[in-house]
Amino acid sequence: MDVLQIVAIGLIATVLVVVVRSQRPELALLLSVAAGVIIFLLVLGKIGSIMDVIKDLAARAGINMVYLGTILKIIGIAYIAEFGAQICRDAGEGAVATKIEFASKILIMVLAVPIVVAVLQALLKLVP
Amino acid sequence: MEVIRNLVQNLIVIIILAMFLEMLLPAGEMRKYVKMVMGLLIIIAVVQAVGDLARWDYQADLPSLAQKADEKTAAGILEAGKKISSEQRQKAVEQYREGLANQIMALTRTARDTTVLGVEVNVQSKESEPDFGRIDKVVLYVAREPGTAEEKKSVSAGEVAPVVVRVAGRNNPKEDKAGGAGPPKEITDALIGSVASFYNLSPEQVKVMYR
Repeated sequence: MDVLQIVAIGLIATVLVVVVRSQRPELALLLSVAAGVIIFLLVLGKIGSIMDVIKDLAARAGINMVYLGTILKIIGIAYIAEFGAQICRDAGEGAVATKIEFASKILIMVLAVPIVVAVLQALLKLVP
Repeated sequence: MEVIRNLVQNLIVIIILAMFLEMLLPAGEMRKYVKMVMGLLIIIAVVQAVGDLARWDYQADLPSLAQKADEKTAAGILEAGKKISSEQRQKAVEQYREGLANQIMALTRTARDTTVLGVEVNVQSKESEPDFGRIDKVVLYVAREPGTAEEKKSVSAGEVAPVVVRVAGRNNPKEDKAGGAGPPKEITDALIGSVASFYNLSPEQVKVMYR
């Protein structure tokens, strides 16, 4: 039961963070990061099967793999930025969190440019 | 009718893909940005599906850099696949050759009058040839005197044949062959015949060499 393990790790980490935070806030932050990394590693193996399904569906729908790769990269950027921003907020650094989110939005937009251009060209082509 | 069926199928798959991707989206602030890009992807997918119906070349609209990279990767993958397939075939031929040699060894053990010390099988290994995998030649290494191969291996070099010193220019290579005549011709012919008929070869393809 993976979910039980994950919940147990989360709960233990939460209790430890709450206990440690009053004495050593910097250690509490590291603990929460470590818990996040452990939980991510636990589900990392299962992400591969999801990716296979998505790639299969995209191939069936005739979607170019360039676009799908871009979308997956964007989702990855969003997740990483979200994790980073939350950790910063937990540490009381809301300003840094906002900057991380800003940077990730820019990166997402940069990756989305080819898709936007392709949509634009396709739609313009529809107009006689 | 078939075209419309394909279009509907494609749209169904696209909708399921969109649903699947939406489940992957993060929950926080970034969700709306990712959702926007994903919406664009869905639009492209639908336009492509309709484009298939209208038969216009939407592939030309793809970003050229990405398209080239994709083609390169596909060509590389195909090349690597061919290479692996060729290597596997060569390994299979090698195993087939070894298996045949062992089989022929086992077959020749039934012949009491001769001792086959080793077998070499040549197989057509060029993949381009139509008779790829067929036996080209079988060479049987036969002992000059009968006895089992194990006996031959265990014989120690106790007795040395008389040493003949030849003067330069007078040595006759035929004398060597006459020295070790080997088993009688009928026996080797029978051996060749049995191997040739077992593997459906011509007798010329089976050679006997004495050791």
